[in-house]
Amino acid sequence: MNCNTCRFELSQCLDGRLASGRRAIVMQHAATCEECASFWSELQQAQQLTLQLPKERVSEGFREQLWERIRAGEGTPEAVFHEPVPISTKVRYLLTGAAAAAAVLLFAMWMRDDRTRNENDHVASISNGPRNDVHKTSPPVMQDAALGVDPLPLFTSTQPLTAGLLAVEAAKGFEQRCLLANRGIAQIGPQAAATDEGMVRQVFRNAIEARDLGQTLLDLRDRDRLSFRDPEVFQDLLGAVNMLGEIRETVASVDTVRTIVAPALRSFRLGNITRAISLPAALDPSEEQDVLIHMNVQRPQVIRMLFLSFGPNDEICEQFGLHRKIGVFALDDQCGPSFVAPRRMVDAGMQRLRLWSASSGGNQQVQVQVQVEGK
Amino acid sequence: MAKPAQEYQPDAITMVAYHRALAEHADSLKAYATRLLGDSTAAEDVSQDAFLALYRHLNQIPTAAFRPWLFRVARNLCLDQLRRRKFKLSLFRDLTKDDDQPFTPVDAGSIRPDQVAETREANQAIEQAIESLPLKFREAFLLCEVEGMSYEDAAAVMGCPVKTVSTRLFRARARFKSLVSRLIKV
Repeated sequence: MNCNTCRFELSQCLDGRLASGRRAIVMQHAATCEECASFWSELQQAQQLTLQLPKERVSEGFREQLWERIRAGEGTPEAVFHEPVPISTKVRYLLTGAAAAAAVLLFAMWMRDDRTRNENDHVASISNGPRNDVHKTSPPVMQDAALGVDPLPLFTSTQPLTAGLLAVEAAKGFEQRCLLANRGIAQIGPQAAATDEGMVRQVFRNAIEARDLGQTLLDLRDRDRLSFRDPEVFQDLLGAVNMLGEIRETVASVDTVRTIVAPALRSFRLGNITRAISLPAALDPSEEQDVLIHMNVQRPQVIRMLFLSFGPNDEICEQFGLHRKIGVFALDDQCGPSFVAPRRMVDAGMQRLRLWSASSGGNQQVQVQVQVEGK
Repeated sequence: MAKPAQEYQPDAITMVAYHRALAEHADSLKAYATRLLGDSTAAEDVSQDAFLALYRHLNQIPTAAFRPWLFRVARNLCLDQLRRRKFKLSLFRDLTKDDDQPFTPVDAGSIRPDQVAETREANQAIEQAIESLPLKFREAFLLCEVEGMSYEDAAAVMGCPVKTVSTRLFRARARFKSLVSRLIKV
């Protein structure tokens, strides 16, 4: 017999809970094993010690006080039925809660990844070059947006213009123009003899816009407002911008598309440029404003291409000595503000704004249609 | 906050059983609570609360189950107090213990003063050994070893299986034995 088992059963033996047959076996082992015999002896003596302890007695007034409380109609104390919660139960609850939170988090991440994947499906077609089934993919949302889109995105996406926002929007705009240009190139095809002139012009327009946006990214890099994680992406972008540097929409031709535009935008890395850039911490506000003013002066068409601007801000113009007609931060030729809404999110050709008029008691709803400037 | 008392008048037989439980278990209940709480005054309140609760539930508790029910209630009350007064108790335990030491007159003719001192010292060592046991082991030890309760009743009080009681009791005994080894004459 194992000594540990024997000792455990000796403990039960002390309480008379062992059957006589088993008791005999245990006692037989204890008789032959010196350590178990000693354990048995000590166990008995320890029990004798506890039995020798003086008896605790309730005080003399215990009963009287109890009857007084009963007669007074005192109820059962609340704590009587408070079962202590075992630690294992607490741990179980904790783990269940943590698992639920993790599940929610994973679901949210999965949903987000799914959306990103859908967006990147368009980009993926760039990396594969011209594809025959390109026409099957749905066109970008911004081209499909219908008249009378709910105005909410216009307001929710409005935010202060920063160099970081400009970089992100320029990168996303660049990816989109690349996608559209490559899609057009795929439709023109390598062997087509006679091609729709409209399609060629569209490819050119997208390529020129991609070039401007690429130059903006390179400018921001020169001013330390963004950096490229992957040097090869930077080299590809630099090459594409240089190759597209000389093209003009007025000289659009199929040959130019095949010899300049297609090779310039062929690199698959250009379709993932958003993921390849990283943004530094925000600058001092005056430096930030300096960068933005510079970008506006150098490439006002890029700002107009990427953002809707809201309201005039004369102070900025005066502070930097800019003429109102210069067209920077402009909406309707007014010197503009620092608040913008990315066109990518709100561009719908026409926005229907619902305003609440205060002139007639504050309850009259006025619907205004705003023609957003075309790109 | 106590629940309002229910209007219930127990019959004569039940009242006899209640009085009997009061006579038989009041002291042991207080001893059990004292050893759980380490505070004699609070322990007396706990045992009084337990009997008050029993009186209010006489119509629901079978007479044979009075004892485990009382100990179960006392245990809940003690654990509740320990939870709420954890730090306070540890601060004042030593003071209250000395004050609560009952004066037991000794027959001068039968026991010598040095024997009295020796016995008191031994009792203190035993109480300390019990107190130093982990709460789960202490519960099993107090119920089965000190109060002589059956494993089944102890399991009902502790809210665990009978096997768990026997295991905890074995471990408690082993620890207790090693703690009071100097008092054991082999």
